[in-house]
Formats: sequence, C-alpha cells, structure tokens
Amino acid sequence: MKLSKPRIKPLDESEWTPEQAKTLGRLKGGSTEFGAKMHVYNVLGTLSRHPEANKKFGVWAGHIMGETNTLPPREREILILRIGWLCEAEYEWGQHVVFGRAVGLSDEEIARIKLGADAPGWSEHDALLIRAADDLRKDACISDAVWNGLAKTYNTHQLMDVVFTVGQYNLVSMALNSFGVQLDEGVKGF
Amino acid sequence: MKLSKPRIHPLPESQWNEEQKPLYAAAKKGATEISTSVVFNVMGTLGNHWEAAKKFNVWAFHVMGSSSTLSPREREILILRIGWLCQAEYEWAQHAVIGRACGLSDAEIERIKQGPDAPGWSDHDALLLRATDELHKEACISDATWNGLAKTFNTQQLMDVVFTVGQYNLVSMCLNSFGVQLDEGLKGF
Repeated sequence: MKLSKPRIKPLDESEWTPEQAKTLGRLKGGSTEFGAKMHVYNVLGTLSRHPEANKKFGVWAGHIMGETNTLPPREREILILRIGWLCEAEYEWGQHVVFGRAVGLSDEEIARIKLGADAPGWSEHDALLIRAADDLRKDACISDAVWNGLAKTYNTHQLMDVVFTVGQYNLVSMALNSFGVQLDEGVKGF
Repeated sequence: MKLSKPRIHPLPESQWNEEQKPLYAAAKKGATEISTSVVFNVMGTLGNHWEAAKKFNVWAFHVMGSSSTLSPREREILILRIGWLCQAEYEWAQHAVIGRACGLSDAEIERIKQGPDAPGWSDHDALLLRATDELHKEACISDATWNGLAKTFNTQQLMDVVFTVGQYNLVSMCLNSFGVQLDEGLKGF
C-alpha cells in the first residue's frame, strides 16, 4: 500500500446526498443487487467526492467490467491483475483477486501473474496477455510481436478491448494510489 | 509516430451507423465541440468498436468538458506532457492546437517537452508537470507534489489532475497501439 492513510477520505454516511444514500448505502452493507458480497466501499466512497466525474466514469468502467467488453472475463482479469501489480496498486490487486477467482483463475495462476510472462506454466495466449500489459506500461504501445501473436486468436474488438482494459486499470491504479484508498475490510492485499 | 501505418483503420463512411454519421461528419470537417482541427482518424478508429466508443465518449467528455474542475489551460498542460512522455504523436498534434486555443503560447508548448525543470514555469505549472511525470513513472503523485498542488487546488481539482493524466495515458496507449495516423493539416512533434 503506497500510502498508509487516505489523502482523500471516503464519504462519511453523514455526507451522503439522498441519491448517494441509495447506491453507497448498499455497498457499505457489503452486498449488491446481484447478491454477491462486494467490498468496494472505499473506492466508490472516495470517487463519490466528485459526483459528476464519478457518474461519467461509471459508464466507461461499466464497459470494461461488463457485457460489452469482448474479452473472456478470465483474460480480462489477467490483464487487470498484471497492470495492478506493475503499478503497485494494492487495492486493485486485492479486489481483483476476488473477481479473478470468481471467473476461473486459480490461486497458483494469480500468484504467477506477479512473476510475469516468462514464468513456466502459462499458455502461449496467456503469456501474450501479460506481455501486452507490460508493453503498454513500459512503452504505451503493444509491440509488433505481441500484437501479431494476439491477433492469431483475437478479432479487432478484442484487440481494442485489451488496450482499453489495461489503460483503464492503469488510470484506476493512479487514482487508488494517489488518493490513498485503503483496503476494504476482509480484503487481502499483496 | 510509433507506427507508420494503421493496425486498425478508421471506419469507412459506407460503414457509419446512424449514430456515427453526424459525429464523424463533424470530425472530418474540424467542427467538433472540442477542437477546430480535423479529428476523424481517432474517432473513426474507435468507431470500429461502437459499443465501447459510445461509453468511452461519456467519460472522455468529463475530462474535456465543463464538469472537469480544471481550467482548460491547466488541463492541456497535463495532456500535452503525458502525450509527450508516451510518445503519442497524434495526441501531441491535436492538443497543441487545442492548447493554443486555451491560451498556451508556442514557447510554453515547446517547453512542455523539456519538463518541470525548464526555466520559465510558474510554481503551479511546474507542479502540474511533476504530477504528470510521477503518475507516468510511479502511478502515484508524491507527497511533495500533492501538498504543493493542494495549496491551490481543492479535492475535486486534485482528483481531476489524476483523471486527466490517467485518461490521456489510456488514449496514448490506444493511439500508439492502433496506429492512428495524423489527420490532414496536423503537425506532429
């Protein structure tokens, strides 16, 4: 955790607008309309300090984590975990380990993401995903070798969603780190 | 320009859907809300994945629009610096035009390439550049830079600094990786 205390604190219940009471109230209770236990109060409670930005951000974030992202969820989480690791964004890691397990990543694979593309055990395609995240972090560009490799399996939409996913979670890492968002209760870090 | 040819081509006119037609026609004419320059190549490229592009535009319009709490000039300093650090020539070209329209001088635009230690920056402008450099390198703003910015900026402005740099780091990754080429009339680095 880069910062041990928040620079921007999540909204206190006493600060919620009536609209926020509906959405944030549910999260603080640790449940969502989907019935799964979600511990995302600290990030959403922090972003809610800028309601206009948060609303518009939610639309784009909803593409990346939702049905219109053309990547299989397991592959999406490999990208998110790798960029979170590279950015040392512990909140992102902790949260997406939970999501990653739910979409089929094993504990062993999750630990291996920290080791990178050259660690033994990855399929060729999974190794390319990790290299894509590394290329984007280092050069803001996917190399020819990785692009061409991914293009053997992926169509245009999927190639675009690789970059959108890594770029988005690079942004999220910057926000989590800079605002000092602390781990939610019950979520394990690195 | 990292790639001299597109990996993903802008959508040809024959494939524009009804929602895209007015947007892309305006982009081709340099008649969008954001700039007087032609911006078709980026919009047309993203348009290949219209479901994504539609949602992307909502968020992009926070950063470039009236709900951002930064002044346009400050916003463009951040965008130009991250574009430079990411070597995203398309971003630089477009935002040099926008930057001038927001009050940046040619000398200031050139000086952005040299960074926060170049002589001539106000304290505040130097902090904006440092914030960008730190976000690019460490995905985090340092205590010194954060506290410095917090002398002038409120909470929402501090958040918008990070949103702007993060967003344009994402945009740089797209422009570079998809091989988006300069539009007609735009000057690169």
